[in-house]
Amino acid sequence: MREEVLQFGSKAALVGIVTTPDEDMVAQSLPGIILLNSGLVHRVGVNRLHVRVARKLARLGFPVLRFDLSGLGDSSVRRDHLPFEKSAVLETREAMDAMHREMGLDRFVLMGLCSGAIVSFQTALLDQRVVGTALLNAGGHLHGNDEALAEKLYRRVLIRHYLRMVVFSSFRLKNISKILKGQGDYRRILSALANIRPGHLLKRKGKGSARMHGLAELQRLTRRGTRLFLLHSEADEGLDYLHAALGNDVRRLNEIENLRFEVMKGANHTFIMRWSQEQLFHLLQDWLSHFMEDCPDNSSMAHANHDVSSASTESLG
Amino acid sequence: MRQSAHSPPATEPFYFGQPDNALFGYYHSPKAPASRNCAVVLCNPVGDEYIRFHRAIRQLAGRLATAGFPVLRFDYRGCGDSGGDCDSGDIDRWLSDIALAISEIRGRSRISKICLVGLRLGATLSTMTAISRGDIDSLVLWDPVTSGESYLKELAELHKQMLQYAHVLTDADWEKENGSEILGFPMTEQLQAGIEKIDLLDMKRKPVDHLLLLESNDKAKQAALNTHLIRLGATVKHLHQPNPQLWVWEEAFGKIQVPYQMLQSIVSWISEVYA
Repeated sequence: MREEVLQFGSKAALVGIVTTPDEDMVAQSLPGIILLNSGLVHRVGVNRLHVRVARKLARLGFPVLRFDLSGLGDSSVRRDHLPFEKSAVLETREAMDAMHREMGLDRFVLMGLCSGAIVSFQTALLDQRVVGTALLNAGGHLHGNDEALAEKLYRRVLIRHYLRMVVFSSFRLKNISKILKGQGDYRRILSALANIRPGHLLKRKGKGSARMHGLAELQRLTRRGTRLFLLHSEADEGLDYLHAALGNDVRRLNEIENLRFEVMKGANHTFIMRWSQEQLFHLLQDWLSHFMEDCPDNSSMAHANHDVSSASTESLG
Repeated sequence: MRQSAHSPPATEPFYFGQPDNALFGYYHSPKAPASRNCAVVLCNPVGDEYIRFHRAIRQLAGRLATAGFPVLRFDYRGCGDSGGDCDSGDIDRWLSDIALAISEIRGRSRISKICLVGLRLGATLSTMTAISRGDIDSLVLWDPVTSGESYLKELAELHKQMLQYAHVLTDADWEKENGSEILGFPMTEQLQAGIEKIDLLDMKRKPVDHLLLLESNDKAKQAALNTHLIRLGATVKHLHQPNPQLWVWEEAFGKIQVPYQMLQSIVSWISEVYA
């Protein structure tokens, strides 16, 4: 495994680190993996997750690039005033171009947590080179640009989230105790309650254009053969968004070919507990094994599969 | 541009040191027409503080370079982009990394005078480096860890608060098998033992003649360190700029703060010293 600096984009303004597998692990048919920034955190990721994911996946034979979008980490600020939604997708495509130029890769898997997941999803919709995308704790990505719908969904998400956290989640006892001690996030809770309308609770969630739009967007990718992994932490508000946007269709997500949907019990939005980080690595490795099965290079596949099984008991750094 | 960990560093982001344990560095060339006769090495905090202060450290490096100083920021072993797993770093190793960074910037800038700017544990490591080497010209200590024992207690308290606030379940069996953790990072026995030994109030000689002691975290209480350094004969400028929000653990990573006033205080002080 080797790590190198890669600068690319206009005036080489974007800075990333490429982790490449050892020579005997390189399989030309495996896609390159690109890890995208979460919020304002630079390319190492929250809890240094991206570095560790990159190294683990490189040991399985995947070349991995983790880079900073413009204005984040070590990458320069853009001067063209392009909105983030557009520049992030553009720069992710530039990252694919750079990996193609440097390593000859033409198929990619995009991964991101939170905002990184949304950028992954938006780029996948636009670029056929994306053959897989792992959306970790994504939210707000399935209803298009309809602001009125966004507002309506957001209210539903908050109500559902607080109800779930206090009544149905693994954290309910902790939350009830917090409420009794006066330690709750009352401003947000009151704001959510103030916006409750009978229709929000009685109406079956997800009816209407959000569901249609969201499902269509997901299936647009899966039907063209792009594998999707929707992973949510139990505490993640994005999980409530998914339910608010897709309604009962969430239950059938795993019936869609090329789509995998999982919820990690007991984990928070940033996977701060180390047991949850380890579980995340295992889930990603397991999902990526599909790409290794597709790999015609049998020797690499044998190496990779061996490593997947040994990784399941490996202690993480 | 692509640079190998095996090739000599040429441009700004680069790897240096042993190829199998390379450190990631970022060299900022001085931008002002009249370059100063001092090179600056920035020494990061570690763990969760490293992630939260990366943006501030990068901004500081840019401002110092604009003021005419060559600057090197870098990641210790087991941290950031550098080699090694998260559990591979310890105090001795990180002190060696700082020594390597000093050699690197001297080679690149051809300037022998060095100012170390450290934040939190990075400030403590800077002080230890200055004491042991005797060739560091000045220090900026931003909320240094004065007592290792207090620091460990503070981290444990933050972790406890996180467990109370965040929606997470703990796994005692997992932790028993894999060691303890603080805010998403492992706390190995070796690292803990190294930190426990830290006591800056026990230093017997001044680390440098001139230093800036910057205090933003009221918990750290730097007055005793200030008094001790003056007693040892150092010229200390002690700035108290309270910013308690900087030291609150936040789950959201869209709210990283950059304390511009503190960055400006550092740039102004170093610029005055090397006018």
